[in-house]
Amino acid sequence: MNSPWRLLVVWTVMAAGAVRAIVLPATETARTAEKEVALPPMLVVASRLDWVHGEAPGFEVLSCCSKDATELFVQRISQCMAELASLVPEEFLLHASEPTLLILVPPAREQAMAAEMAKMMTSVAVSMNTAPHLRLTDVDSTAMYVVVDSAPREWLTGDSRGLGPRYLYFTLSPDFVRSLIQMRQPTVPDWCAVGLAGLFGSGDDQAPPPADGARLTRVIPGWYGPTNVPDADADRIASLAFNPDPWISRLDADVLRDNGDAPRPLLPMQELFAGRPAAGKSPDYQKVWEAQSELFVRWALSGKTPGGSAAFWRFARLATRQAVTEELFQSCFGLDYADARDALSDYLPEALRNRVPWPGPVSLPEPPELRAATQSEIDRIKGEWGRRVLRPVRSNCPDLLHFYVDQAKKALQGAFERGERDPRLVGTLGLLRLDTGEEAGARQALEEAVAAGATRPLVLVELARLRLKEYLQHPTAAPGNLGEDQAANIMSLIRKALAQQPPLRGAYSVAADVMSHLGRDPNPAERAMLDGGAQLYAADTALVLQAAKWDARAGDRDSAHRLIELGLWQSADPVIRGKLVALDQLLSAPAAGRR
Amino acid sequence: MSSIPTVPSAALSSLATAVSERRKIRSLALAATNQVLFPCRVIAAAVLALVVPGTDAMEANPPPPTWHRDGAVLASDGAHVAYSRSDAGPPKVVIVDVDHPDRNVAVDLPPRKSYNVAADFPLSMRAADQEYKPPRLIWVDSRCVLVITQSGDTCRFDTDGRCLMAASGIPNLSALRPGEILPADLGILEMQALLERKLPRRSVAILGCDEARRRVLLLARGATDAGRYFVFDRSRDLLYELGPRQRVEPAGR
Repeated sequence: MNSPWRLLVVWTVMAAGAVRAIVLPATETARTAEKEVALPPMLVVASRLDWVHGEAPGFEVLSCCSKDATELFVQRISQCMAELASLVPEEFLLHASEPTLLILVPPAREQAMAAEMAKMMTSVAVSMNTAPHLRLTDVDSTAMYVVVDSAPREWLTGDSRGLGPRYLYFTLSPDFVRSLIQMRQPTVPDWCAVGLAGLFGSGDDQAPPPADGARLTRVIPGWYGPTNVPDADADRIASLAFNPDPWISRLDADVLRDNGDAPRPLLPMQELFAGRPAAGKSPDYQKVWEAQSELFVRWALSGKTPGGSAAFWRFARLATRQAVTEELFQSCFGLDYADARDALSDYLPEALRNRVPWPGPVSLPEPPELRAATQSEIDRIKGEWGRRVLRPVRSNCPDLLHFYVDQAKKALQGAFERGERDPRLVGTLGLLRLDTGEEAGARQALEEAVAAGATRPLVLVELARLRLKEYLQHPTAAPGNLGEDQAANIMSLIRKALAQQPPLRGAYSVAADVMSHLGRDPNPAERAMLDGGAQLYAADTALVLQAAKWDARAGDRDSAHRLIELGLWQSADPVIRGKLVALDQLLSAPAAGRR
Repeated sequence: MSSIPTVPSAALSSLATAVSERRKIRSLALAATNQVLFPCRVIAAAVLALVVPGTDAMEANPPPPTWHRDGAVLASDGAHVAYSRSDAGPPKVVIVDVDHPDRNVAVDLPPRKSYNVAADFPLSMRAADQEYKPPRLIWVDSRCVLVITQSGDTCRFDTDGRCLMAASGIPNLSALRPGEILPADLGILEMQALLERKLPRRSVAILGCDEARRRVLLLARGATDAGRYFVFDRSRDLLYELGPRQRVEPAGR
């Protein structure tokens, strides 16, 4: 931990509990020591900060850090994303049309804001902590709040000896990697997400040293370089690799590294690929499953497997769309399950000794253009952050929710009343109103945002949902059915939303609802849309069932059968399974597809 | 100078093929008979001896309770396993603590006896098929394993690999704890089916279980390998791989 190159992980989720205490007056702390809650940071409106705004591919930045620190942070996070994409094919990573929001704050400012926040909440008898770094995801985008120390450029050239232990820099944490993989649709199998995330997390202090005895430390999480060669930065970067496998525990890894014949628990491959172990399984079983997921990824990416890493990605790709079988595995790796299990077991001692090579470092991108942020940008981003934190506050400390709601409203409503009509700001205001139960106001703001050109998928889908609700109360066709004009009004929003990334599950749900209230069968284009949604969100078995039914009614047996198979693979619900089986039997009957 | 009569190469080739095929059949048949329950196994072995000459009932019979032909035994505590191996260097007995993999010791045994197979081959199938017999292993208690080498020497080791006794002759085995016979109430058929599901494409032989019936020792063999020993922990639903079975090969090869 004392190494000058030691970097701290930036990504911290509230649930992880990594929080730092707000500086509170001693008397207050004593008074409220009975209960301590972790709070997301509040971008207090009253704080007068010099915000700068900037954009980089995939990122929008609002920062009150120094120009150097902001530039370097954005460069580094962009570099990390490129590095991740050099190992993990893009199709396995979340891609969002909406840029990721970065809010960067220096430690001194953060403390000032925290003190102001504490003062605001003096009436509440709780002791507070705030998360110094927090990532909050919506279904369509991510926002991050990061406390950034001044980041000397010297770090990048290897001279980092002057950095203190609180030095903070952007890193790719396992949690972040896992979220990027698991949010991608269709869902990547658990073993793949957990195994890849484990690879990136193999660099903590618990990781065993490699066989050559060189002491390694985290330079970039998951990447390691020798600690005692401060001037050999270029060589170090060229030889970066993932640290040896930490296996189940340090002790187990040490034993197996010293004695390759020591006993080791391993799951049969079919149990590894069956997904996360059920809750009833023993903790030991769970640990073995996680460790073996990482071992499998290491083995597959080690370059020593039949078919190499291409076979691994092919297998992972196929596993997103169908049940994993021994035949599927064999078609990718040329090994049956038994031989693969033996191969994994034989590879384990090697994995504990050797590092997995990395495709290669990516050069640092150009720094972003920074300029003073406009008041509209500040209000929009503060408001967006304020809206996002409502969810964790609501679940963790509902007593304090109104403070956060007030802050978000001050930023968004205040700007709106001043005449700001940026469609993104108005859209966020609509979403905030929706979150706080003001449906009429939400509808008004969302309509205005979309009319002004808002393209955010969540804004479009929520407006479509509100329109559907109203149209169903006042249908222009027969009672209970939507008129064609009403359906078109909703579907235009859905199509626009689905043209963005990621295609939201909510968009398909609304589309399916519209189809079921049309008073006619969906046309081929509408069916194709539903089929696409069912394939992406196969876990939504109600959607899968409905899409399969429409296909069956249209006589498209092949599509219906594919969806039924998908639904049966995904669903454990006996009711849904029963319906799928019944539909399948109907399809097999001579008069299938006609009612 | 008289010429040495030569055997046509085609005849030699046919003979070699026949011998090879016969050995394959016999090996498969033996493996199959070892998978069935005891009474059936005796009958199957008798039939096998009739159908495939060179196989006698003793070979196909199950080993006596305290003797483990497979060279691996599980102690009554369910934690310790002793198994023999001789893949490199002198024959060894490996003593494993499944709960503490760091307490894993290998102790050397006297070198094994060798056979002059080439001299007998192919006149005597029995000699050609003569296999190296691993030492017999018996847990005296959960802290002490008795090793009986093929030459009849015995020695005892504690679980740390320390030799406690070395003497000639086989002790009175009836005084020792009976071997790890699988209790009937374990549900051997269900257990066999479960293990075969967990180890597909492997021939699974259950070798014993501990007193608490928590753990089961088994050998899983592929079509071409000697197999690997496993301990199956029923409560954790976990298979622990212990190590490779001693490679069984005709001596002299």
